Amino acid sequence: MPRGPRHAAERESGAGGLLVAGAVAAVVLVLGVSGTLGAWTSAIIGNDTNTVATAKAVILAETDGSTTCRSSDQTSNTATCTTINKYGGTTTTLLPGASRTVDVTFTNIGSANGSTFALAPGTCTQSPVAGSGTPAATNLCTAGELTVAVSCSPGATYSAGTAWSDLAYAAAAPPTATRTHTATGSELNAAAQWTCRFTVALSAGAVIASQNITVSQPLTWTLGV
Amino acid sequence: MGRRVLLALAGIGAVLPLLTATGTRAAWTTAGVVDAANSAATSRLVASHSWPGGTCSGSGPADASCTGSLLTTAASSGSTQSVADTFTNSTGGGVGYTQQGQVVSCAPARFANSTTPSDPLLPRNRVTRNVTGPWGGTVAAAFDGSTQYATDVVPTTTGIVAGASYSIGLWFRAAAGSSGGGLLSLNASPVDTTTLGANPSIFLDPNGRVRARLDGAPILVIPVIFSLASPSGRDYRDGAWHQVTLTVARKSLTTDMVLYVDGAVADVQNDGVLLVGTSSDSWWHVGWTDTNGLSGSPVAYFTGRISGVFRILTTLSAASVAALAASSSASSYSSLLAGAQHLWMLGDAVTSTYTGTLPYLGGNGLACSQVRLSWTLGGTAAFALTPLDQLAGVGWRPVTPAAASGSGSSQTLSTGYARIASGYDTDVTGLELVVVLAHRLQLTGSSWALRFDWPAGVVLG
Repeated sequence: MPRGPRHAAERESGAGGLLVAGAVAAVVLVLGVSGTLGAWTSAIIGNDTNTVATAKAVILAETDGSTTCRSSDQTSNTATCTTINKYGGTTTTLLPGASRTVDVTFTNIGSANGSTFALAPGTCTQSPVAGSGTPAATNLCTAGELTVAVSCSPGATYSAGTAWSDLAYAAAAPPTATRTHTATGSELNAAAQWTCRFTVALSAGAVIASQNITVSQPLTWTLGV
Repeated sequence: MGRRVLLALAGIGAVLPLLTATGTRAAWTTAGVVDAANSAATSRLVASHSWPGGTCSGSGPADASCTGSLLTTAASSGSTQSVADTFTNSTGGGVGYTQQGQVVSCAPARFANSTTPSDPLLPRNRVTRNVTGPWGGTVAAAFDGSTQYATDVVPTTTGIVAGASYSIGLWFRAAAGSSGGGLLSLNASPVDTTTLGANPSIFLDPNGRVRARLDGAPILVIPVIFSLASPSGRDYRDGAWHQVTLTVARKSLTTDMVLYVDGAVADVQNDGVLLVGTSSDSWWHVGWTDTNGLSGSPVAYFTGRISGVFRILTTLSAASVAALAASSSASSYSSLLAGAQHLWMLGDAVTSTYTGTLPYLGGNGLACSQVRLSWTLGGTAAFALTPLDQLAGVGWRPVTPAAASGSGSSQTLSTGYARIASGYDTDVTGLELVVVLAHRLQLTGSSWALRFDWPAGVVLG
């Protein structure tokens, strides 16, 4: 059937609608991107899309009582924290038989409830390198003379009596395995707090070659909905 | 065409917001914190010694090797001499420290004999070691012209030495205006006691002439003294190294003797009567000679440097002697003397010791049996005055460790030494007894210890 002027007008009308829709979408795209970045830096949400996302966010804050690190410090919601040393640092050194304890408290400062909380130990390194020097430096990352114990419990202070069993490391060489706690009840809900205790110790039986060694290990915490 | 492009862009614009929203949601559903700065450090033991002769600091886990000695003078009498040592524990923290000491070893210092290892030279009165030799390096020893010399261990007799052809020689360096002295001689005393004269003897007279002296005898028993000398007017006290060799060719009825300096003939005595000697024990001396009967009015103790002392049981040819004088290195010099009876290069460090017995000593023959040592650690005696040979190698003392100063505090340790109370053998006098001492600080309840060693401590016998 031949097409008349009406059909041509309809085609033009349909194409015009599509152009409008595309333009609106482009604007939404611009607003969406701008709004996302704005939310990470000033917490001002400028469009419906981001408002929806914020409502489902989990944000992890960690503090040792004097310094606080937040996941939201980075746009990826995974921040690198260099100010909280859970192994106690190197200013005060460990003699055989000595130990030190560091508590860090986590808070879900997002508005979504979390359901899992995981600790993934990174690679343990030491200086001087194991086997170097005279006598050959002990490998404190594996020897078991330097031990790390981790235990977490609900609340703003650590309580051994309510410690989680699924995210716990008994005293042993610096950990390697990832451990995950699955929330019971509201443990990881928005605004919930929980505290992890690190106990770093040097065995009384540490050998002479374990003197003057610095051990370092990154730790990654992940809170998931 | 332009419209189609516009449509495509519009379509992409419609899809991208959805993708963006999806990506944002993913970020919000997990939150992570990477703790990048978790570290812990183990401690270390830190301490130091300070005594009149020096200081020594140590930090674990390595042992501390200290220079000098806690025994700074000679055990010159039976009365106890002592050295106070301030020990400071600078370890951070820790509750309870203990300490112990030990005599790791005791033996006379030596100059090794590379061709007859059992017969080293034993230096006396702190001969200066490792000074620059004829070829550079540190293959030489310096003698002070006053008390210092060295003697070998295994006795021979002047009769045995004279009974065969041989050559002896060495390198020497004497400063201008110095007094010369004995270079190499065979004497009937293991120390510097004057007896009936050296036979043979090579020495530098006060005018800088190199001389040699030997006893000979004709068929009759009237002894004949052979004296060879470099020409007058040539003063070898010039600060340069010189090589001197004396060759002795024993023939059936006569003896030929040639004195070389720097590879050239300095004097010759051919067809001399046969050399003679006695059956008395005699010892080779370097840096000293019995001056009885020597011409040229020499002094006994040599002032200057000596290296490469040898005795070879052949009469070296002039060419061989010239080769020795022309040697370009210590190793080439040694190679030329590979078949020598004795070769003492005099390049040993003070830690080179002789652990055998001395034939001229009574008792067990150990020089360290003649000197006693005590060590007090704070208020506790590690050991009372005890002959060094009885202390060496017995381990840490006291067996129950003594209390040590705590973190940040000091205490006084004291070493005392003396000759044995009775029966001291004067043949030990001046022997350089290398007494290796060790001290350790221990952290109570652990295996951590910080050890200090004095590997080159010397006390004179």
